[in-house]
Amino acid sequence: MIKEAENIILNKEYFELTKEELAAVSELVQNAEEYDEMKWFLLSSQEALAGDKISPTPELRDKVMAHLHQDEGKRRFWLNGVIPFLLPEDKKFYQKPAFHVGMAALVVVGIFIFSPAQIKDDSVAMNDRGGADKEFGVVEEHMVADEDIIENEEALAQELTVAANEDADVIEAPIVEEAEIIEDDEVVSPMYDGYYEGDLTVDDLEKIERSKTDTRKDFDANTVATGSGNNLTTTTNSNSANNAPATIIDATDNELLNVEQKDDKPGNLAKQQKDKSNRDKKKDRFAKKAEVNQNADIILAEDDQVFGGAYQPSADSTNFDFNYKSEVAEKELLDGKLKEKSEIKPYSMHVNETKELKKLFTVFK
Amino acid sequence: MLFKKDYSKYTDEDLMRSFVEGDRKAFEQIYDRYEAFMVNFFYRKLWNDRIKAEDFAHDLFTKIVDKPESFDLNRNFKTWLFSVANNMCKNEYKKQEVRKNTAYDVPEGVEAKDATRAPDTEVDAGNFNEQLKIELSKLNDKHREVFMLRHFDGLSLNEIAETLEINAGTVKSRLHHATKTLAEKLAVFRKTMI
Repeated sequence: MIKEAENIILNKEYFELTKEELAAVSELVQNAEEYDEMKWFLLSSQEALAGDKISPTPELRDKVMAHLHQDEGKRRFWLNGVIPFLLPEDKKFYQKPAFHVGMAALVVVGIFIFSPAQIKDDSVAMNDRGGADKEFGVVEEHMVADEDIIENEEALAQELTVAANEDADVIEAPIVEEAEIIEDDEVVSPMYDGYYEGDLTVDDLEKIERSKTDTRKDFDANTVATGSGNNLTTTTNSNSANNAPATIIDATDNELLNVEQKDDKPGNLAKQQKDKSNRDKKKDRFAKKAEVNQNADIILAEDDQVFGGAYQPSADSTNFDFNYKSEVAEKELLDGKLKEKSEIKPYSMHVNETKELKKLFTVFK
Repeated sequence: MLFKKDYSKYTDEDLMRSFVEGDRKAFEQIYDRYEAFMVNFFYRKLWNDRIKAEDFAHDLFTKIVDKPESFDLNRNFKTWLFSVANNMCKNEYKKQEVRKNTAYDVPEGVEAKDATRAPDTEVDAGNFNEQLKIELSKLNDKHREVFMLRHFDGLSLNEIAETLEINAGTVKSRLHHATKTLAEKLAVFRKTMI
């Protein structure tokens, strides 16, 4: 709390002051003389100022007490507060609430006056009907609207049915084509193509055997995934949501594998015959090649015998016969394997086939 | 009620609390305590215009009657009352500023700052009160206001600080400056008066 030096000076003499009081009055006075001067000044000024005071009139008290004891309802008449609130005297005109309210009203009225009366937009429908038929117009409009909706629904259902039938035709055709592709692209041993010029080793045979088994496994797995058992049944219900008739396409493994039985077209038969003849030709070519290889081996063996190479004439006849026989047996075995291989469908082709099928079916989903 | 309440023992805040609860006698007690203070405050602040001072005092007390809940019961009632009165005077000054720009008349009680007299004339007059007013008018408004609140209205330093919403230290320094200045200028009267 701030100690008031004036109070100390007014109430005490200089010699009565404590150290704290001296410190408090030191801001105003420095010695006893100044202290006395200040004391005189404060007393004189207080007397002078007290003489200037006035006493309030009794009327003021009466007024305030009358206001105090007034009924609260009379005291607070709402209309008396409106004008002082809207037009306070102590504010400039632009600070008065009445001015603000007036400006806001002006803005609102201005918006209504200057806003476009008619909407000139071609995309908005206009109501050209007069007021006379308004009473019945509503009911008629509802009825017309219902009829239109029914007609539209029927037309839509017909369109969907036609579209679904067309889709069904489209679906059936490519499946047949797919079977043809399988038949056409039946792959034989690389040697049958004439591009393989070396002999097949035991490892190669094993690889071919493995690919054969893998192909069969994949094919079986695919069959299980797309249909159950021999009946590969695929149902396309793409139009079921639109109440269109569902199209069912049936196919069997046999149909997919042996397309020849299903294919009745004359052009296809000729093509198949041509393919068979080509295959026979390739087989003959391979057989000839094998013979040539055998002859070449025999010639080489004879050359070794003549020039005293690594070949031993003492064991010549028996070893040669044995080797020759074993080679022949090996080639016979190879022929058998290759014949088996000719029936194998390569893995890559099978993948293409499944991709094609999936593509076809996913289109109609 | 068998016994009457002795409202004179109540603090200002307790009286206001009672008045807020509907006790009109409590307000009468408050009015009696501060009527003279407020009238004199307005009288001093509003150019010694008695009618204006009473009008302002009336307005102040009727406002309290109408809206007693506007007083924060946690505050000091005296300083709150003086601060409300001070704000009313400030508003009146603004109004007078607007009028002064359109009229040549000077409000009653306002003296020109350059109305100085020769020292010998002042001494000869021997009127300490008049000289005090003159010297007070020469003071800065801030210093004069603090001095008058302290010695005319009788407020303490802290009450002055709350009323004027300034720091108590600032009040103290202003008061000391005003007191020293006036004491030095009016020291000449001491010899003649004693």
